[in-house]
Amino acid sequence: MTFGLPFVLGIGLLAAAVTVALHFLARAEPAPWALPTARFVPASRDRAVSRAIAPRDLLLLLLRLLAIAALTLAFARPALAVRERPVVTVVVADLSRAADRRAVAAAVGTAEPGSTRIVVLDTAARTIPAESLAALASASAPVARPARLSAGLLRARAEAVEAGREADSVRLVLVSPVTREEVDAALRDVRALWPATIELRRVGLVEPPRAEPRVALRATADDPLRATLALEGRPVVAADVSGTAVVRLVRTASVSSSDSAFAVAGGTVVHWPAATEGADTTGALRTARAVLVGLLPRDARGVRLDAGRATAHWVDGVPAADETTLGRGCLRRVAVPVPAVGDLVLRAAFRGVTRDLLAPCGGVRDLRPAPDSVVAMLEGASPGRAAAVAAADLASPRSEPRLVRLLLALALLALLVEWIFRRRLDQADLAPVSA
Amino acid sequence: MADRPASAAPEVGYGPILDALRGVSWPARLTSRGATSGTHVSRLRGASAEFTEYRAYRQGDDPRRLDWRLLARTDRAFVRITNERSVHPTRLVLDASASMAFPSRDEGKWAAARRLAVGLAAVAHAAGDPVGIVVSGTSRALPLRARRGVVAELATLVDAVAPAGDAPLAPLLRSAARAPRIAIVTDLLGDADATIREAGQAVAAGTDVLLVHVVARQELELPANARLVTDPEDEALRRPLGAGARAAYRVAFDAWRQEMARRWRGIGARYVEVIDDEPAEHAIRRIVAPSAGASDGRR
Repeated sequence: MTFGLPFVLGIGLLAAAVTVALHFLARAEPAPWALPTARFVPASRDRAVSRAIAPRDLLLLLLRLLAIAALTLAFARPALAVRERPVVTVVVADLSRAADRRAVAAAVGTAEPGSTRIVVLDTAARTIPAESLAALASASAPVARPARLSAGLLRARAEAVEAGREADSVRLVLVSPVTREEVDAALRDVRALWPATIELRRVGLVEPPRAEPRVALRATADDPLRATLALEGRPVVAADVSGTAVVRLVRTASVSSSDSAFAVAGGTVVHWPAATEGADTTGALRTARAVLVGLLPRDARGVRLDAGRATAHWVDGVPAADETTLGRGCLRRVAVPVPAVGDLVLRAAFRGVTRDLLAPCGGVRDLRPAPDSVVAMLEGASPGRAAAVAAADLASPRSEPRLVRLLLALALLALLVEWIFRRRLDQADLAPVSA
Repeated sequence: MADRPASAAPEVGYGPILDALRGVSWPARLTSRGATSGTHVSRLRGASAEFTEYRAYRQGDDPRRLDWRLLARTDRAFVRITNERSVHPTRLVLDASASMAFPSRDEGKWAAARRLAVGLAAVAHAAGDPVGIVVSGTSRALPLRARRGVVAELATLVDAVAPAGDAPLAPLLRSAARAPRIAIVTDLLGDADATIREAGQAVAAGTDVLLVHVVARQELELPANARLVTDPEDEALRRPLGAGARAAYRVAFDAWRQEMARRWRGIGARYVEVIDDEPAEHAIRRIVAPSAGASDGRR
């Protein structure tokens, strides 16, 4: 039996000790006995004290201790769960766009059913049956958006708490390339929630694209972005060209159905209308890697973020572009007016902004390996640090409601019997057996 | 005073007592004043067969009572005097104060008092004497009656009473003094002094007064595990009961009982002490015996 609140046992032990002490130390005035000839008893300053401990008082003491013991055990949240196995392993398998999925599946290895739990990390973290990892790794298409290791570790910790109900201890394994794009500001705090070390199995990266994708431009002949793309050296193809190595740039007022179909098929559609409404200005525009400073006109309507994520911001924080997943691809909406005159489109900063806005779905990829400090932080190896966490340290075991009810009923019964027995003793004291 | 249903009264059982008292007589200590024919010697002189003495013939005597043989022998006229017998009405006065309900478990004193009252009534009634009863603290009373069933009525009356309160006995004696014989059954823990005064006046008026003092065994032998005692009629009185207090209590209680016996006998009444665990038939035989609780002088 284990206890969810073991400190309650100490409280119960203290209560029992106090009860025993009071039982033997109490000196209360005994119940008076009605005697019609009491007037003949001489008046005295002596005090009547209770009789010395008698065997029947020990029964009262035992009943009281039984009630205290039952109440203590009930409130200490007892659990009769039997530990089925000594150690359970929780594996975080990184199947994000940065990882070589087959390599990850191979690094995980053969998982022993019941002893290993698999948490898959792509755009979100979820638990899957161990036997389905191989099929998942080979069957699903690469995910466009980056994954975050912090999400994977959080899900893994929750899984470890569940696993701790069946095991004595839990160990955590992370199978991932650990790239920079998977590291976010919350990773350090999330890592601190796991008190033991993490076994890190680093795998190879997915093959990054050799070149930037071509741009399929649907715009007028004198569109200023043609100059930007030319300066960037980005090859521009016809607007109807498709394929994953093509980013379709639509400069018309709306996207067409073919554009949507292109996105659903896995392509990247950037809707960057040439016409704008309203007049507003701001001082800077920021994307993932570039910042453009200057007196910039902007669309007063802004960009409404419905289901997408912002990929560019004005200096005041208003989103300037967002990206929404469509099928296997995405639609990126840009609300950055491009002046028809002037040299803004020729500036290097603008070209950098354009480069980020024309990135494939998921934004710019930073598949560089994370710094060694991040890796060391993840592993958390230090003298005295355990490789696994004891199950009791993860969460309190679920108490057995039936056992708790039984203990409470036992306590109530003991108190009832004690009350009845005490009343009978008091009545016997008042009317002792005649000679 | 509380009445209680007969079913709630502790079972006393008068049958065995009444059976054991068959044939027991309760002779009058004083000559009876009654005119009704009975079994007790009467103050009146009559013409029965029980010859007592001769008296000189006076004018007006019934000539049929002349002893002609004596006249023939002595030439002097004498009349035969014989004793008359009459009934001796007995009124019982029963103390039903709270102190009689002791010990609380079985109300031993009250049960003993009821058995004594019913037994004495049965003995008196068997001799043809009218019996009646008054109970302190209640309006329940039975006038003097000699008819059949009066003992059962008396038993039913006392069974319906629950001892409580502290009603005095002295007023009851005042009203009961008209009976030739009064038997008081009490523990004397109430208005003892006033009761003695009234009894003394009744004795002086020619009433035969018997005092049956009921004492509980547990009042004589206090239980060992009693540590603190209180008077049920005065809850402010609480006394610790140590070893020294027990011995002093017994001495004081014995002295008080002896004082009571002396005072009751001193006024001319009879005093008999009965312990509650003594069989009622034995106690009643002791009570009705001619020598029981003799007073200092016999009238």
